[in-house]
Amino acid sequence: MGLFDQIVMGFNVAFQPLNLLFCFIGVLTGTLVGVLPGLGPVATISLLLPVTYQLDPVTAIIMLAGIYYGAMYGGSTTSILVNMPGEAASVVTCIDGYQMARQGRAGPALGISAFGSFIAATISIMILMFMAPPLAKGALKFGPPEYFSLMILGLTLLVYLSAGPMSKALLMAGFGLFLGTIGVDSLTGTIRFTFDIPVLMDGVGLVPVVMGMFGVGEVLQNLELITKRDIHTEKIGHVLPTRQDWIQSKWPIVRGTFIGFFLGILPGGGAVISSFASYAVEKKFSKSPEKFGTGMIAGVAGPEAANNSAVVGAFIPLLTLGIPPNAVMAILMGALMIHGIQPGPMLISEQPTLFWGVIISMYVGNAMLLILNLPLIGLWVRVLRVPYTILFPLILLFCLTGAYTMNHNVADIYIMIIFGVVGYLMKKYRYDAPPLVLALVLGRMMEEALRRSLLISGGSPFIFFERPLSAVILVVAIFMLGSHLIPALRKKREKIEKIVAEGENF
Amino acid sequence: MKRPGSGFMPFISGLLICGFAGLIFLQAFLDKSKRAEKIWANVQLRRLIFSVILLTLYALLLESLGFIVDSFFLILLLSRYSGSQNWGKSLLCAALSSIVSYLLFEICLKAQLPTGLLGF
Repeated sequence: MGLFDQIVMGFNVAFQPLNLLFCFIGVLTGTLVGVLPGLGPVATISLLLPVTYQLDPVTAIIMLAGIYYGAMYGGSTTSILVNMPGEAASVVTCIDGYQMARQGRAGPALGISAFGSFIAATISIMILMFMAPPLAKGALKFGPPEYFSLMILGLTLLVYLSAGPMSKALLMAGFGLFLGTIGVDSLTGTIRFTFDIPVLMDGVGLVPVVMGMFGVGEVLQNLELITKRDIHTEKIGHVLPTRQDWIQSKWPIVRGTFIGFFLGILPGGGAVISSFASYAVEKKFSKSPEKFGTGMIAGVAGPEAANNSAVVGAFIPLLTLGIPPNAVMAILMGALMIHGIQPGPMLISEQPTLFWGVIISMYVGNAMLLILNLPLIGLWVRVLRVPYTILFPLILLFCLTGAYTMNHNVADIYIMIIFGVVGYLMKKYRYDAPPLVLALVLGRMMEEALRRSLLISGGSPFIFFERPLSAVILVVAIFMLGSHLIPALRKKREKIEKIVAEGENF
Repeated sequence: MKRPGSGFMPFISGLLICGFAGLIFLQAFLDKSKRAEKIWANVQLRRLIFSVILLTLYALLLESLGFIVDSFFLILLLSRYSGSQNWGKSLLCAALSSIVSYLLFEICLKAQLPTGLLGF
């Protein structure tokens, strides 16, 4: 079957009425949770996961993916209008987007982020279509050492780009790896660190940890000071960007798309980091970098394109290697496995309807979002007008219910509350959560890959350097960690850190 | 190294944790600025601790009280005390949200929540 036939097949799948409906439900829910601070795609997808058990796997994944990229659209709306990112990936959008809104240019800012996201999705879905099948073939040659090195690279990347001090990020990564070892050892069946608590036999669940740290933790942080938010709604007016706007944001969108896609592919990259990276790049490329932070449209267009295309890129490691590059993908992977589908190099050839259907549905979903989002901005603003004092108990209730319904086990709620407090304290003391989450996501697979590799080599750790591909990947990772110690590069990193910190203070 | 067993990964991650915890401890020790004290200024600890206790109670009582009753009290107390709403509004919110979320999760999404006191 040629590429063209496969795309046609994808369209057939995506345009089945049921799939269209669930795609629509997905993107709409996604936008809503993207707008609401404290309720992210991870919590929502895990809440809705039990619903998808009764659905066809293709339909289920179409809807869950829709939530993920829908949230990227929703997050930018709140960043621009209220200076409050509904989603971590939209934190940078606040910097220039909110300034634009204060100057009465909220309309074009919203417009360019929607168009930019759509263009980014279009390009990145095309790259995905061309890249994934050959990559999957290449991935068949991957052995445990390559898997291990790749995961190390992912963790290193996340640590390297994390917001706080690097030592704290590395500590968090170590802690995540440790959490991953709790439960039954998959190679020998030994039970580790469970202290006879039954729920820990299966390991610490990703969902309660993530919902605790990002959902409960964020609510607790917001509870510190409940303030009135100012919403710039008077002058949304026309959302179509002018010709001048387009000229200024054309290249940022293209650059953002590529940055987002390639950072999205790497485990640990993802939407948040690529939006920061894109902002930093635009600042560097701009003829007037000093104007960034005062309402430059390039500072909205680039990061918004990047976070959307990172979502698409993130499907590559999952669909070709079976490695989930972030928490959302880990939950999607769980959803696939519940339906008896093993993500990995064989997925594209064994489940062509799933692969092509989901990809084309992402395109359809993005088009829906573009059409839907601009007229619906008024509605999202009204959602935002609901005072936080009413909103936060609801967000907590959703998190509690979500944690419970995963396994119908109250113990998961306790785990979530504990990690809520931990997450809150981590925020206070500037420990970055993403390295912990990724380490927990990858922990099991990393351990298996590491131990298998050492069994193959008979205990020699040099196996990772004897295989060329693995060696290259590891050298890149080591270089990244080492570069922290070289003063010149360190300064650059601190600069990025500063931008990030400024973004958070807004 | 020849036959890495169950304790291998915990050993490595343990090393990482000890190493970096030590490093951070040293850094904190050498850091003379008073950042740590500033962190806890303006924090309404009472409200935070109250909310966490409420959440824990919710988990404790979920299976005996049932989803609707338990959620009703959670939302009521949260919005009254943590959110400083007045009683009327809090009651309304609690009643509405517990019933609507029950309908949403149990009926639409078939999530099988604990029934408890009310028996449905």
